[in-house]
Amino acid sequence: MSKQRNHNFPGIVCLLFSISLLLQACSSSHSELPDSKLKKQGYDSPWLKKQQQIFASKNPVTISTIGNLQLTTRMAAAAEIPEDISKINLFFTAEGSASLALGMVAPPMYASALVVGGLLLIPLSSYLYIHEKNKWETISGVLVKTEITGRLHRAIVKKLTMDSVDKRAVQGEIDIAVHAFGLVRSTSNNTHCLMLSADFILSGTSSNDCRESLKITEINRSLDAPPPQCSRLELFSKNRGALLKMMADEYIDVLAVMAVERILKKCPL
Amino acid sequence: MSALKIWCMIILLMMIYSCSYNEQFKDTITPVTYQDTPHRSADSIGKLRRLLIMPVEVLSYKGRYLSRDSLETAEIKYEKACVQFLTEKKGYNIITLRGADGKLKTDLLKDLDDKKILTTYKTWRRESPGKQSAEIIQNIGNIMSVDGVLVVWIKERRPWNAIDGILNIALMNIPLVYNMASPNIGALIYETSTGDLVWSEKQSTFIIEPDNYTDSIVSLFTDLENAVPLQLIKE
Repeated sequence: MSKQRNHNFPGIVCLLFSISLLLQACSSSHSELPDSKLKKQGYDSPWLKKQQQIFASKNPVTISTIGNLQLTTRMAAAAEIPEDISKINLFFTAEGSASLALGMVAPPMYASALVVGGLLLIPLSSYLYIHEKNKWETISGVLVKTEITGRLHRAIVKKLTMDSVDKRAVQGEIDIAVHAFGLVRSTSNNTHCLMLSADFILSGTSSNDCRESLKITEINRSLDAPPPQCSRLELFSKNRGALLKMMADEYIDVLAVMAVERILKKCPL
Repeated sequence: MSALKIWCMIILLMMIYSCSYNEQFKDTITPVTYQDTPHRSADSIGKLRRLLIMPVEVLSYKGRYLSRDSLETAEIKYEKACVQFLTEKKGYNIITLRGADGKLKTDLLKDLDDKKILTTYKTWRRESPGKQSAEIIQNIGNIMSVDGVLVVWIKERRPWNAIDGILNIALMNIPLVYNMASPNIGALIYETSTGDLVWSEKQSTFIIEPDNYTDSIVSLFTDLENAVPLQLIKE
């Protein structure tokens, strides 16, 4: 009798531990935030707030003058970071622990299935959790460290100088406000698209003000914009986010070309 | 665990692995139709922005197509789906060997033995490209003025029938029966500058609607890098 009790003791401890894990996993979804969307995306997390602060510090308002033209580039929104789904795997870890614990106290007929199930679930879901977490951290790390305003500014100034705009007697103010940048879920399954969208305003010229949206997005993209890079998050995070970094830089350079095209052709200076 | 169980586990893992994989074979990709751009990494497939698509090879089961014409219609349909996706979603400039009427333009390859090429390119996927294939690819690429040559194929499978259903229940092996009814599709990209194979994607996907394989063919290119945008190249 006492032998059986000794066998059951670790099982009961495991069971209690698993139940507490399960309760914790369930209770973590109850948030005080009133906005369910914000709650879901984890915007309340201090880590993410800190990351967005890094992004803001990387992207200050940049102003310069080229001839009689004043160019301003600014960031008007935080980086769009995909939802962190790694926590889902913790639920399976908890479920595996519960299964293992139940297996220890269950009658022999059911015990083996529960124990084997638990032993399979715990390492697999833990591995998936770590893998998903790393992937998300790589992607969000790359996105928040992207320098947009400075690079865009330099690219436009370089292009305008090459086109000798600085030597022409033209006046005006160019304001480029980037209002969306990041990875968003695609309309097709299991993929995300990198997007960049900005408002272009040319004012203070002899003719009317010119205002246009420059969009490298999946839907409603500008006519002269290339299609956005859409892939699985796995591919974006590969090699420490090499593809994401490369594409983000490329988007900024393309946006600069699109803006200069408008300055030189579409909007009369 | 008995040897049989281990063997079954290995087969199952191999089957899961074989469902989908893509590979990149070279560290340096070189375009030939424009000056190489510093915006992309050396191994970026997107640098091959102008591609020639060879006629899609369709391997089918008995009774699927009743005539040569219906098979050709299917080939054209798959080819169009690939061209549309690669152009609209990935930004590639795709050149085909077909005219507006859908017929193959045999005079495009000029002095090359076009009839021979239109049969030999189908063997490239079964063997690693040899010196002869590389030369053919370089010749085709240079004549058509493209950065690379794209080869796509599909091996259609008979949709599930009652026997497959019974087999599935009896064997209790969904992956096996699933795989038996899944078409195999694949795509290969060769670069003109060297004639080497630079990218490949192979999939085995389950089709619910047997007449519609176009979505599966298009999904081959989901993870392909976008082409270098026109704004950033110097011709």
